[in-house]
Amino acid sequence: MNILLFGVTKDIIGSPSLSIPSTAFSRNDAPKTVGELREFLEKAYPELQNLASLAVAVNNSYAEDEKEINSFDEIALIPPVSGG
Amino acid sequence: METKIKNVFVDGAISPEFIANSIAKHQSKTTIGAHDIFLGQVRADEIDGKTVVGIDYSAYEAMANQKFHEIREATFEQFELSCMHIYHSLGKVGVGEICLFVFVSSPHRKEVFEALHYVVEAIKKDVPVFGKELFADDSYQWKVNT
Repeated sequence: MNILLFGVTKDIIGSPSLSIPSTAFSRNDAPKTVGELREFLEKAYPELQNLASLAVAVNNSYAEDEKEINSFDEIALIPPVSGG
Repeated sequence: METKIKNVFVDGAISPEFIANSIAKHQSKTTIGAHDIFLGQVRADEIDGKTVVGIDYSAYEAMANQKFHEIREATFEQFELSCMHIYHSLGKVGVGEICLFVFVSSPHRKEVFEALHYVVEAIKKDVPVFGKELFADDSYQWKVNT
């Protein structure tokens, strides 16, 4: 699973994208939804929990925690935005 | 008909000349009776005793352009506009320089005031653009829109 990182999440995780090999999960343990992915990442990188907000985008749209994901989706972490 | 997704991003600051040219280009569109323009300018905020010297903008470009497109479509649906243009900087923009240029036009003034407010608020809230506030000593912090 490949996750694109932006803004402060790039600093926290230390690279512009994060590739999680399937071997990182025990059988049936890989995140199947946005919520499960968020839980996994917040455990692996606790600093993510300190952000004012952390959205997950799936295929260029903001996604709710219930949204199902698979390895073909384009997934990105969106920290607080600051355009304009 | 599905309209094409435009690229909103420009490299670096948006120059006053670019803005003036945009205005000039509308002089041939004579059904327009009112323009309204928003210009976002980089502020020299003081944070913990250090002064911001510029903002380095980055974005999730594909999604940001998609979001700008959705905001544009929603605005045209709600307000009677003749046209709308949005430009946002990427990369470094110094204090006092322009990083966002929104330009709306309509036959009448009421529509442009309301549409412009709607567009700018939507951009600030939804578009995945990230500003890194740069300080003179090479340190930085990530900006958060309030």
